[in-house]
Amino acid sequence: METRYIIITILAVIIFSSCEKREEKSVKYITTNAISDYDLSYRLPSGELKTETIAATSMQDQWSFSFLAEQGDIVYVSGNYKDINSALNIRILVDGKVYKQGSSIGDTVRFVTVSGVVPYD
Amino acid sequence: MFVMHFTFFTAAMLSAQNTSKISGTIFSKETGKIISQAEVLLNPGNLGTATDEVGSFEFKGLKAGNYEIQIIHLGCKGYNEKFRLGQGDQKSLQVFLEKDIQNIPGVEITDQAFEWEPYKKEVVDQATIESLPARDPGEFLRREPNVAGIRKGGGNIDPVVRGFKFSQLNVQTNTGQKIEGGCPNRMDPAASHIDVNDISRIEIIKGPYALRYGQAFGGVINLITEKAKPYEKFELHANALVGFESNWNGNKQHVSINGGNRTIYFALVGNHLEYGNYTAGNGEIIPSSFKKYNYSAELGISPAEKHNLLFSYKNSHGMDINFPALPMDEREDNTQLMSANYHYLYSSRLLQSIDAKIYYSDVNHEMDNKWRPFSDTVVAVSTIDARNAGGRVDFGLGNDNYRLHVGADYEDIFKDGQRVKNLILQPKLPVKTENLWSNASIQNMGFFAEYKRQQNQKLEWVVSGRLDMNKAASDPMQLKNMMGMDMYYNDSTDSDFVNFSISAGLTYRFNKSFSIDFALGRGVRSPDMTERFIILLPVGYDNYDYLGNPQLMPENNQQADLTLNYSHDELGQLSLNGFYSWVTDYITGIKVPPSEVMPQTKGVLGVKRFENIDNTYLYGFEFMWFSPTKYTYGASLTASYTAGQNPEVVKYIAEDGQVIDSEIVKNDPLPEIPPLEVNLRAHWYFFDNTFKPEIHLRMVASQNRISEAYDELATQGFFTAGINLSYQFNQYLSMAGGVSNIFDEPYYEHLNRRIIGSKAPLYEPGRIFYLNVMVNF
Repeated sequence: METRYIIITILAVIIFSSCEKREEKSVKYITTNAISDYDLSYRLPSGELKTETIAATSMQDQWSFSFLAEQGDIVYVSGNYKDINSALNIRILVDGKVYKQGSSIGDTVRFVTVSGVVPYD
Repeated sequence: MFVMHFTFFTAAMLSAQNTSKISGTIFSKETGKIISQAEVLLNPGNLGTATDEVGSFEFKGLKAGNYEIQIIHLGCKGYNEKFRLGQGDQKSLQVFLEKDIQNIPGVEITDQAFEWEPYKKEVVDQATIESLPARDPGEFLRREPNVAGIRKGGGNIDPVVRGFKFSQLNVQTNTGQKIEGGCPNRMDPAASHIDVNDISRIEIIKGPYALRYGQAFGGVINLITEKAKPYEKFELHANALVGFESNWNGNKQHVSINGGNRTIYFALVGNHLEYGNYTAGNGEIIPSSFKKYNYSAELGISPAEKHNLLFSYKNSHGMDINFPALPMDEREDNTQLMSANYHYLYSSRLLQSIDAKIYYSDVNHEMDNKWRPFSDTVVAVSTIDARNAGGRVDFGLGNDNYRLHVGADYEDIFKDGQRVKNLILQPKLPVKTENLWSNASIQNMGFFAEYKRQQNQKLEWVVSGRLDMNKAASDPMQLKNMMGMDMYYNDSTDSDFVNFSISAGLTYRFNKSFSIDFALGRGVRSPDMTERFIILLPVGYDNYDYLGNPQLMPENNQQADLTLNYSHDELGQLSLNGFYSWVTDYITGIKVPPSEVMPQTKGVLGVKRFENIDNTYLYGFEFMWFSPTKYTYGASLTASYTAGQNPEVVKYIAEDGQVIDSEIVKNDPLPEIPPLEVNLRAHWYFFDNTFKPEIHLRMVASQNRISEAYDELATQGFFTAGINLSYQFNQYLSMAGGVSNIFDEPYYEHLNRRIIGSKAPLYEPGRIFYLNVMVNF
């Protein structure tokens, strides 16, 4: 009889531990190549869009922002510069690997926009 | 995997082999008809089962010893017998139950005081569900004659009965609890919120006749789940099922624990299902993966003899469910179902029974296009909250000759949802929010009465009526563009209806072998949430955005059913049914000029608004034959057919994605009607009836009766075969396995929707090997 109770207790534990959680991934936004200040909009983990001016003086200057995101979350970075001699490269890394990237050189009109959703695989 | 190992470990511990068996058939003493769904209990061992559709039951793999069998059926006197089984004995019983409502154990809310019904009612039992690779109720229902399903992905198949679908069918759980699915495209029909492994039986009542269970139009599907039940002394029991399917690497686990005593009893149940993408017979990989898990708890209290209370709570979840035939996939489903039930039964008084229930169903549905190529430009996410709260009370009065049920039911449906479009390639990440429903609600108060009478040994008849007061409202139906300007606005959203439904039927027995059933009914249903309030979504069969119409009138179904039944000791049981249905104020989509409203979905041909049209017709037949159960082999043959016709309909002619003209089509077949289907099953018992192989051959004709107005495509006929092997090791352990679609036939059902944006068919799975292991103790 005691064996039965032990088995039933184990089954009860199985019942209430069967929930599933979505995997979290590390996301990193990186911008480089600008030689002067530029405007950048990026999506925060909360879903809000943050816009700020990023200071830069040389192509090696790097801005980055890291956070944890669930699979399926929207990732978004969009930048624009006003200096015709400048450039902008935007990369989005997921778990350390480049997920998407985009760049422009001397294009002060077009926005460089890199976006997508955190992959499910 | 742990559950699987655990199951085998438990089975190994309990695998004492023996070969004794007891089987039998239950009949009504008064009518001589078989009684299906009678409860059969065997002790020691606390084994229980229900008689199948031909009134038979069996317990296999029993040890030698003294046993007591108890047979219970609502409306009949109980039957008890004590006997001894020797090693290898096979005992067979024929039991005739006398009519007399006595008592029932537990809280079985479904009340079948009189076994007979003059209309078609199919029952699927738990043993059948456990032995096959069932994934969801809708898929399983397709086994029944004239029951089909609309497939849009791997699971969540939407049932269709005799061509009636969606809210033309009254789908409920545990006799009265309704669930409002969240998705406008019916990714999550009501049946999909019930785990198939929790189901103890499914009742399908065809036609507008069963008016006690809510608005009945095309039929009622009642999904009855396993219940907590009382025990004479404190006992604790558990059962588990572990299943695996090849092809899409599907696995499922079901665990149930129940126990208690005569006063307080409980049940805890959990399920987990995870399936990958399946491969069709032609090698095509169908994106069909899904994950589901759920758990539930029930507490029963019997404060006094004949009074039972049952409280039930269920929490279920779905994740990442693929729908290749729809523009989105279901990302998450979080559903809560709760109910409180009261049951009273006292046979010797005028007031014989009271069934009362209150319930609350809350579905939170989230879907998106993140797995679709278009999400590189626009990520669209829809979230919908759908709630249904209500209850019913049913008083049963009567004596040996008649039974009167009177009662009322109420449901309050609420639905609110939005679609958020993130334009992720544009600067500043513009976001557009569109309403799908705007705080829409429908309240329905119904009053019903049903009178059944046994006139004499030959004639029984029933008459029932139902009055529904239906009221609906919504915030203004409104769609704005990115500038905030109205693209569509309608604030005339209120409606109020009083609907009257009526049905009558009789059974006449010419002799012990031959009888006829005749039923006539008029069922009225009020329009549903989608038909009334949906705001521009492609929810129909065709390529149009659909717009709800709050001013729609109720739809009416006038139907007749005639069934001939023949039963013979040597020939088995035969049943032939014919039905004819005349639907008036039929609800369908009519095109709206672009000057009135523009479509919102890329690639659609325009906008259709739900409207009532004059009438349509449906007709068909069902044939069933079951061989006698007295042999160690048996077979069944079923054939079914439905045709639907629209006397006059407008066809819109499109060219290069634009509607350029229209024409009237006469006698156009209704869309989404399944073709002729024939099923043959044969089985044998071996090794003292512990081993049962069964073959299943399914032949489906091509469907060339297709709707011209809806640009429906024809489908080819097909033939499939399957083998199922079930083995009862002992009273604790059994297994069932087999192969479905043995010949790896590439085929698709006529009702499978096409792959979104194309005419490519959505194929059914190819060959699948499956194995289910069941443990009960």
